[in-house]
Amino acid sequence: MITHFENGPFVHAVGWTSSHHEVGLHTAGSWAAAAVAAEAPIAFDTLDGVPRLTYPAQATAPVRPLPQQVLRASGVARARSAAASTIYAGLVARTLRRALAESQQTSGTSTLPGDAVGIAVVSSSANVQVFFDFESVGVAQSWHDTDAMLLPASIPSAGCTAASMVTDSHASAVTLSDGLYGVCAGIEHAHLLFQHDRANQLLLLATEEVSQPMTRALQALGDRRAAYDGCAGLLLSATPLSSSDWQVCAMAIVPEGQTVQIAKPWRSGSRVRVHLDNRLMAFTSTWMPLAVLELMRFGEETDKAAALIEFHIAGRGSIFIALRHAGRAASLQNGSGLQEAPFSVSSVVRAFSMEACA
Amino acid sequence: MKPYQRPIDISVHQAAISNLGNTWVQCWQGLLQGKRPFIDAHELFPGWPACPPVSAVTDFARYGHTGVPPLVDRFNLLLGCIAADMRPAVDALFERAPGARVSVLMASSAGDPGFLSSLVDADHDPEAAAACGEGGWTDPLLLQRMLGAPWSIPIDQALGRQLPSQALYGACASSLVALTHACDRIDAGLCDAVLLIAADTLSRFAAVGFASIGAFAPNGCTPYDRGRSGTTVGEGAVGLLLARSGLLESTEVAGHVAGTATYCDAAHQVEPNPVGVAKAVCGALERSRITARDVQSVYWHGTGTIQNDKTEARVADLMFDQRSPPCTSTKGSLGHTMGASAGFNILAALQGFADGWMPHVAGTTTPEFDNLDLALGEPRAICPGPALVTALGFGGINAAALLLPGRA
Repeated sequence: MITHFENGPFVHAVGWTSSHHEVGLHTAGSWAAAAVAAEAPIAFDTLDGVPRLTYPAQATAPVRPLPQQVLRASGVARARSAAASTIYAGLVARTLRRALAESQQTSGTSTLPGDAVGIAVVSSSANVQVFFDFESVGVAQSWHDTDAMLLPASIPSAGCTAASMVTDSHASAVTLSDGLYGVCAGIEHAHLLFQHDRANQLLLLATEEVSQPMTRALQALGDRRAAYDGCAGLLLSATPLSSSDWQVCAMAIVPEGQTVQIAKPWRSGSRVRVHLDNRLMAFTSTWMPLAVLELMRFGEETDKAAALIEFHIAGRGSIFIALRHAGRAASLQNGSGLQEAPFSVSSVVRAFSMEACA
Repeated sequence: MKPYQRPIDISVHQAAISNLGNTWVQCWQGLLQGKRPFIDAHELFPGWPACPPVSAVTDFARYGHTGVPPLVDRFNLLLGCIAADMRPAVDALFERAPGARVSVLMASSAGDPGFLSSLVDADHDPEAAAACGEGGWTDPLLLQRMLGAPWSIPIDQALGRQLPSQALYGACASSLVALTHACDRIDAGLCDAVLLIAADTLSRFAAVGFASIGAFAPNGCTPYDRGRSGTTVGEGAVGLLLARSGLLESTEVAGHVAGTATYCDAAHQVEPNPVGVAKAVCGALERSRITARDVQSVYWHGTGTIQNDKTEARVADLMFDQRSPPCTSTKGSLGHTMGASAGFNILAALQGFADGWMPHVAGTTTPEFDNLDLALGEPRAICPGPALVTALGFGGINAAALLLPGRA
């Protein structure tokens, strides 16, 4: 239930695409930049913790095809046949890879070869539009009229291998689904790669494509979640790339009705809390890297050493991720932030209610 | 490269469902007999696009399903069937170690394409969709599947318990990519055991797509044959229980995972690269502390496409010099079960340890590559030593694993 990372991955940078397909990047030490919140595509409303889009919520699917210059900037081969989520992953992956190269130049360490860098992609929407485009032509017209170039883009791992290609990163190529849960698995995957000397860095990319079929399904179900059409990713490292990096020290995935005990420094540290009112994971993957961005900004502004991300998902349970600041971790006395909760469900509910009131 | 602290155990309790049967025993017998039950998909699915014969699961009777389940149900059905067959092994594990931390890892190339096809049909041919009992865009459960509802429900129901679960995709190398992740989790102490379920179903997209790029054999695939003309698109599922050393009874251990590796060469979207495959194989060997000379058998990806087989022959050149160890491809019988295919090869390797036989490459009579010591014509007797399993996927995902016999 709780994973304590003795030597967890360090977060060095967060990258994301904006509504105009520009790429934002913040590396450790520059979290306090005033424009961060405005640039990020999702603002975490501190009143009710529900993620909101800073640009108008998309009631309909975004315009396609993507502009030619965006396709080119992504570096993705055969970009016209690729899913939009793959293009977004390419954009962010390239930016994070450049951030890694710059950090290595700054620290004087030798540039790491691509064989030491892995890619993990999380997406629940990657192949939906491609699939619909292909099969709709087949059913409505003729299967002979379908576009065979779409075949490589039809599988969920297409975005991951494209990101691998555009960044010359080969140590791992794993694709995960399940939104927020997939990002947790991606963080764990980074830990496993590092522990087994399979990689020194991992680009963890959460990338989603708001497509017509998925928009239609959301509307049919009356679901008004923040459906962010883009990518947000983390540059994770086995060792800190700067003293301002944040280290993942514990992660808990608990079923509904249960919670964890949060150690004091994390209770009073930087904290982001998000509530999702149903169990569907579509478009939630990007929320996690953007929550990290939000949390780091507050952490940097307040000199906090501990940080905590909480997601409460109705019908499924909760996710807790505890982090500590690489340069200020000494004050935490090696705590990992999370412990099994010794108290009952009812007391947990009460505790949360009180906290919300406070 | 860091080896596992101790090899990871694989339970003797395994599950499989394919065109050869709905138990692993049936599948194994079919492999040894060199069966090639490829069929016209029109016989199963009305309106299926014109394409060569496929490898399809046709017998779900053991699970209480008569007739042919529609595309929309097949993926969940495969997951449920495998989980139901693995339930006794999982129950036994919890009886032996009540506090064991067990998780489920589902590996697939394409995931569940059936509900997407169903929604496409609902838009363009609603009568046909309705005739199949599909609710289309008015079916909230179908829409929820597209929007990320928990996919593990059929597994939870079949197991009679809810275990932490994760889905993982690595194209047609998914089984071995997942094996690597599962073994790493166990070795790192993040869990005690992993139920690995690998599954892929037939989809119109894959069938038409493979045919369009000229990679679909007109009359069943013949891996490594001079006359080979592509693969046979198929479906199937496999269940494996992996556990840390000591968790299973020694008599319950079919074999061990000595080492695993993945390498994404990212050289091409659909064509494999011998250097990338060789790097994965080298990585698995190094982590296993096993040399290429020690390998007693090889279970190649062996799809039967021109490029795949040529690539693997080149890899054998790089790894084994003049002549490879005894080797095979199971796809001549099973077809290409996509993300599940390496799962079948793992089971075949483990069964080879127990029985001393390697299934021959069904359908292949005139091998092209002299450096591959292929099992041809009939099953081949093999020594129960280290076995190499490889898998290749779109986008250049390569993976390899070294397996050791039980009680090694």
